[in-house]
Formats: sequence, structure tokens, C-alpha cells
Amino acid sequence: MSEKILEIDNLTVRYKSGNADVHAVNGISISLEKGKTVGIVGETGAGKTTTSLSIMNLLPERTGRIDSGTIKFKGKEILDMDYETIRSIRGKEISMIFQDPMTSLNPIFTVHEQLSEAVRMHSNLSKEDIDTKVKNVLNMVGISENRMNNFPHEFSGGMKQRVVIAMALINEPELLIADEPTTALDVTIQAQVLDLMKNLKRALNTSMILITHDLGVVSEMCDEVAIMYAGQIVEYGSLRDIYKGDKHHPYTVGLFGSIPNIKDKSKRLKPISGLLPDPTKLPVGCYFQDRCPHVMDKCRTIHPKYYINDNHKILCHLFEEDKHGQ
Amino acid sequence: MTNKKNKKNKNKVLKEEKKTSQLKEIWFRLKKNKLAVMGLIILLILILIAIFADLIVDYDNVVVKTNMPERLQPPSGKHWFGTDEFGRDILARIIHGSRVSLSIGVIVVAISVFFGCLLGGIAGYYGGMIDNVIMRIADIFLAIPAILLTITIVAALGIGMTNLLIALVIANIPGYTRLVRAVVLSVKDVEYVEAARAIGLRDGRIIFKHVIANCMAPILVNATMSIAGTILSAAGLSFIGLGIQPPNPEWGAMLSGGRQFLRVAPHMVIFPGIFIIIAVLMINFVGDGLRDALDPKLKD
Amino acid sequence: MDNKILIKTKNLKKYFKTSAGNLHAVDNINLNIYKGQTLGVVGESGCGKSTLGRTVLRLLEPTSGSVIYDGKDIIKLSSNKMRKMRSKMQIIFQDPYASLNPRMSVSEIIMEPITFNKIITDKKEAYKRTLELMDIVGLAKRLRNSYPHELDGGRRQRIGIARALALNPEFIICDEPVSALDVSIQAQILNLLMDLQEDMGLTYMFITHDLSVVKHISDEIVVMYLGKVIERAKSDELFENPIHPYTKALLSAIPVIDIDNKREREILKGEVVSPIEPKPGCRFAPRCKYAVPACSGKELDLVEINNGHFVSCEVFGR
Repeated sequence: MSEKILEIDNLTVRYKSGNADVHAVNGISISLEKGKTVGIVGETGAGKTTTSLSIMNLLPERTGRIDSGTIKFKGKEILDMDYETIRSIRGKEISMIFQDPMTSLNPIFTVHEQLSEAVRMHSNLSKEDIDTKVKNVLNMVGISENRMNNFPHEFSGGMKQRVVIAMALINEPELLIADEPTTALDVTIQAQVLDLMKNLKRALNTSMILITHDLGVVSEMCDEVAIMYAGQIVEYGSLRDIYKGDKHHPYTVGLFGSIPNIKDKSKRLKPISGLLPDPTKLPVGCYFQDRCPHVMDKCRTIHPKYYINDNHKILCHLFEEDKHGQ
Repeated sequence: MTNKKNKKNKNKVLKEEKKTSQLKEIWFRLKKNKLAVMGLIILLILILIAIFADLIVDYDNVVVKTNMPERLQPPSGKHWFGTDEFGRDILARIIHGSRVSLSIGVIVVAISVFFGCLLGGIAGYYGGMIDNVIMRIADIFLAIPAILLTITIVAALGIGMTNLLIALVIANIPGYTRLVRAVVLSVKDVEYVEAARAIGLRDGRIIFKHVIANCMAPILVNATMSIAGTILSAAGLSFIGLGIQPPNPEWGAMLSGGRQFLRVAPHMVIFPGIFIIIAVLMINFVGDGLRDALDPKLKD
Repeated sequence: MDNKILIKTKNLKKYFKTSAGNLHAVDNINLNIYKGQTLGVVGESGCGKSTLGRTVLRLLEPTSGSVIYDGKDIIKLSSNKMRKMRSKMQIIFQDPYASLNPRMSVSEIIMEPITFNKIITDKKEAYKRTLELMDIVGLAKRLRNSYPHELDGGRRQRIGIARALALNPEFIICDEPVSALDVSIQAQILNLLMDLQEDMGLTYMFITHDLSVVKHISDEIVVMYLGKVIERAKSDELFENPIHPYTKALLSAIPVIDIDNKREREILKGEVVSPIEPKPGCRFAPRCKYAVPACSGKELDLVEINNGHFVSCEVFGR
């Protein structure tokens, strides 16, 4: 069994909003082995970004609150760390790529300045060493050295995202959290960036959490997949479990049914009806009940438990009987 | 037949419900802002005082008639706010002065905001030649100090309340034009303006309903601020003899007139000053509250 | 052709003046859109697809060329006549957050086109029609007094659709109408658009960067690159038999969901070059691995390869 790089257990996060509590993340558990990629898939408001911010301990201080759960990074509890310790981990051992390359770079510093700053924060390397490191990483992401003294606005969107990736990788982190890294990019550029990320990950043996809403991207990049809905992981499993398995959470089925498939041209899509439940007033029972085509009486009263088959977990009443049968 | 009638009634109900609920909502939101409510109440009192000034004090006998034996008296039971250099009761003069001061402030600002929106809206929305012409003219006016401009205009038109108003309006318009043009530029390229063009609306409606309606926040704040400035400008003009003519009372004129007696009778300056401050402050509170209440995005 | 052409563009050009020279956003485009069908326009950001849409509607004045709607050149219409024409041609915008006036309630937004174009003069009837439209696009009546910011993206996009339908248009330009939405909501809106097309016989020009969406909804597709149409074909034909190297790269760049049939991807080198004062010749040539000297130097035309499939390529389009 290989080394566990990250273990999240029963994480619950709430936000304060006026008088109400927003139930953003409701008891999720993820474990990630070294060198693997887990994809977190879900729609706006599913709690994907909150999860990733919790791992970095970056929740907004006044409003965000971790109610329960543990997040262990290489066996150490992140939530118990003091500010200095967590700061020394951020950007060095765990780094993050944000969705929007336009806003995650500082417009008034050159690319070279920003990259060397990122190195200097976490090491005492000499100026020359930092310089070589910056040149190496730019080389890796395919930006020529003679552009390193340019400012971010002098790069195109795809190039900027390469700079962001270079910044995330320059300290050779063990865990990379990528929050919708290609959503803002065009398809051909997305293909370039995904290709680049795959190669770099292999070369550096980095573990990765990939947050996205795009099931196509997940199938290209991930080993394991967590489908999130209303702050819960409703289905978790290997890529094969999710894409080829015969048992699925109704929400997963709905997600796949919503994507127009290029291969076959069925005229109508089969979307999920309705909307996400209000995260301040989650219903009793299953959170998916109002949109579920298979809803039963007990879905409205009893919160479902995970159906577990090896590494494949489904949070749904539909499969509870099966579990005992097996 | 009855069915049809029912439907009509139902629609009517729907409509009325909508209208009242919208006004109600704005009022509801305004009510939440304690400062705005306070401002509104005090302003209302001031306005009522201004309207019923004649019933409260006798204009000819108390407000304008000199009473030399009682000149420069400090506040007392008989004269709550004291008397001025001609022995006239300051409270009485403030009560009557509120008429002129408040109406100058509000009327001037209202008219100049209207023209500012019109000119700035046209300049910002159409751009090009029209923009250039309007803005260069505005620049010329802005290059002359406002007070000099008003003095020149009053001197040219002749002294009097109406001419004073005209002069102040003309001096105010270029500033608003510039402000409105700037905010219009920031809004006019938003997609809902394009959508409004796509559904075939006329330019006038697009400018007012879709562009300027979404620029109201900075315009309102600016307007409330400049009511204060206008009251003071009017005061300044009165002081140099181009505004309200003595012995008619006006807050600014009273303030200016009291300056030379600052050492012996400070109350001559203090009380009109306090009223100017109160009026201006309350107008600002209401303006602030109104800006928030009118913005549907800030509902909670 | 068996069908009637509703809209035709002839040598349509839209250049923007910049300090570095003319930006050729839309460069000599000829399109035919058939009544009751959907023309998909695909391309990456900066290829001029949105500018094309706005120029066809004359929200932007073209630099030259004409747009012929039902036999009439709308570019030549006076602004008054054009305003009347607008009720026939509508647009649905990409960003449901920016395309609705934040100070107007849902019913006001939908009713505005009805009353101001005098489609229905009686206010009560107009309001009734508004509620009817809300029903058609699947908005609950209770939302009529809500403001756009209180609603989610899908509902806002439904408002935008209802506003476009309010004028009983024949032709609607859908400018990336689902790009800002979540997948499950995206599917709801796509289904709605297709149902409306069927019920009302609408003609769509569907602008998007999302190839799977465009295949799903379009009858015919044009692929744009830097202001030019480089390939045009029936939807199925384009996906089964792409000819232009750019189209091929674009198709292979889509991440596939099928984990058992991974294709070898064709990763394009480099990025889109500047559309400012482009040199004559194929605009894709600098990134194209099949490029030959003949690709640059002269303007290429769309050539019909086989029945209804047009390509502009020096190497493959012969």
C-alpha cells in the first residue's frame, strides 16, 4: 500500500450569512495516495471550492467555520497547525492553481519577479540558484526565457495559465490543488494545458486534486472521482467505477445525461430537473430528493448511508438492500 | 362572460399588488436605515416650518422690523436665539429664512441634475462629435471659478431671487454633465443596454431607463452633497449683495452678516450655522438611505 | 435547396480601428441561414463569432457588405425602419448576469418590448402576455416581481429568452447562451431552445465555442478562425469527416468522456495570431503542420468538396 498524502475525514464546513448558516460542506471524506489524481466534480454551489480552501486552511476567517472533521497532510493534522507552520506549507508542499489566470497574477510585477518571490518565500537559495530554478520551470511549462521579464498582461490567456502553473510547481509541491484550471481557456489551449499538467505530474510525481465541472477533463486526468452534490460526496470511486460501473447515484446519471455527446445524436438531452436545494435550509433525508426520478418515501425522512463496494461508494437508498445481499 | 370578468379582475389584482409591493419594498428598506429615517423626520419638520412660517411668526413686525433697543442681545427667555445688530429675533429670522434657503438648495440642484443627466447622457451615450461639443462647452464653464461665474450671470441678468436661481443652475450644470457622462460611459457597454437596443427601444428610453437609472447612486450622492454647497453659494452671493436683499432673511446671508459681530455676539453666527449644518447633514442621510433603498441588489 | 433562405450575408466585413491598424474581426463572410433551421457558428475566443452575430443584427454597423433578410438588405434601412425590423430578429446573450437591467423586475423586463413596440397596446393584455411568456419558458408566476440578481443563472437565462420571444421573432441569434451555466442547467436551456424552435418554427444562429453543444443543436455548422469561415458543412458531416486541419485539431481537443476509447490527441502548437492587419493567405498557416508556401500570399475561397461541404484550405481543399 502506497503512502497516503492527504486524508480528509468527515469534514463539515459552515459559512455564516446574516442570520442563517450556509451548509457548504457536509461530512466529506477523501483519501489521496501519492502520485494519484482525484477529481472533484460538481456544479456551482456543490462545495468544491470550499473543500479546497479548507485544505489550505484559507477559509474566510470571519464567516467560514470548520465544524468537525480532520484533514491530515502526510499524517499531520492541518487544522491544528499554527499560522507559521501552515504558511510554510502553503506554496511549498501544497500549492494551488486558480480558475482565472487573469486575476491570479499580480499585474505590476514581471513574471520573473513573481516566480522568484515564490521561491524566496520558502528557501534561502542564492540569487543565481533562484534564477536557474525560474528558468527551469519556465522551460518546463514551455515559456521561452526571453519572455520572463514581461508583465502578465503581455501574455495571452493560455500563456498566463502556464505562468500560473509554473508558479504552483516551482517549489515542487507534493500536493497540487487545481480549481477549474482550464475553464477559462479555449478548447485547443485547454488541450495544451491539460497535456502539460499530465506530463509535469508524471515527471514530479505530484499528487493532485482536480476540481472541475467537466466530466471530459476528469476522464483525461484523474484516477479517482468524487461527485459532489450539496456539500456531500454522493458517489466516489475509481474512474472506471464512475464512467463504466453499473450502479450509480441518480445525480451522477443526471450529470452524464446532461452532456451532449458527440458520438451519438439523440435529439433531446436528459437533464436533471429543478435546482440545488437552499444550502441554508437543507431538507430532511436525502438532499437530492426533490430532483430525483427514483425518490421513495424514506428518502424524505431518512438520510441515506453509503453503499460500499470495494472503493466504490454511493450515498443513496436505492442500493442499501444490495449491500446486505453481497 | 363571467369567466372573462374574473380573469380581468385577477389581472388587476396582480398589477396592483405589484405596484404597491414595489413602493412598499423601497419604503421597507429605507425604514431599516435609522439615520435615513431620522433625516427624513427632521427634514419634514424643517419643511413644515418653512411652509407654515407665516403662522408661526409675524413677518413684518418681527422678522424685518428693526428694534434698536434690543440689538445684539444674547439668547434669553424672550429671544431664544438672541437678536441681531438691528434687534431682530434670530429664531424668527431662521424660521422665515428656511423658506429661501431650503428652496434654493433643492430647486437649484433638482434642475441642474435634470439638465446634467440630459446633456451628460447624450454626450456619454452617443459619443463622437456631440460628445465633443457638449464637453468642450462644459469645460469652458468649468474653467471659470463657479462663484465668479454666478456673480457675472447675476450681474448681467439683474438682482433677484429668480436670477439668482438661474445663475446657480448654470454654474452647477457643467459639473453634473461631466459626472453623468463619466458614469454613463461605464454602463453603456453592458449587455443589457445592447439588449435594449435589440428589442427596438428608442434612444431616449434606453438612456433614461437603462443607462441613467443604473447610474443613480453616484448622481444621488453628489446631488445631496451639493445641496449644501448651493445653500452656501447662495449665502455668499447674498453677502456681497447679489443674492437675497436685506432685510429679507436667508440662513447664509445671516451667517455672513453675523461675521463682523463674531466677538460680541457669536450667537448671530452659531444658530444659522447650526441650521445649515442640520439641514445639509439630514439631506445627506436621506440621500444615502435612498441610494441604498433604490438599489434592488442591496436588499438585506 | 429545398428550403427557403431567411438570412443571407454577402461579403460581410466588420473592421475595428485600433492604434496598430484595422482589426479584421469579421472578414468577408458569406452565410445562408435557412428558415426553421439552426446554423451553428463555432470558433475560439477572438475569432469574431460574436461580432458576426451583432453585425448580422446590425447592433454593430458593418464596414461593408450586406445582410439580406427575407429579400431585403437591412443594412440599407433607415434607423426608424430598422427599429421596426428588430422585432423579427432577436438575440439571447451569453452572460445572464450582464444582460438584464438590475433595476427592473422580471415582469418589467419581459413586458418592456411588448408595450414599447406596441405589439399589444392594452396594458392588461400585455401583462397577461408577459405571464404567458414566463409560462412558456418555464418561469414560475411567483417570480414575476423578483429582480434578476435574486435568481440563479438558469432562471436568468430564461428571462432573456422570454424577452427575446416577446416580440414574436422569426430569427434569434443565440450568443453562447449556455456557456455560463452549469451542465444540468445547460441541458435544461438547450432543451427549451429546441422545443421553442419546434413549436414556433424559429430560425437560430447559434454561436458557441462548445463543440458538443453545437453538434447537438445545429443543422449546419460553420467553423471560424480569425474572422474567416474556414469550413462549412452539415452538422453530422463536419463531425464525421472534418477536412480543414484546424477543424480536425478543434475536434480532437474535446476531452472525451469515453474512457475506453482514448484517441491520440492532436495538440496544436502556438496560439492564435493577431487579427490586426493580417497578411493575405490562410490565417491558420502559422500553426498548421501541413502548411506549404502556397498557403500564404493569396486569399483563399471556400471550395465545395462534396455535397454542401465547403472548405478553404490550400492543401486539403482541392
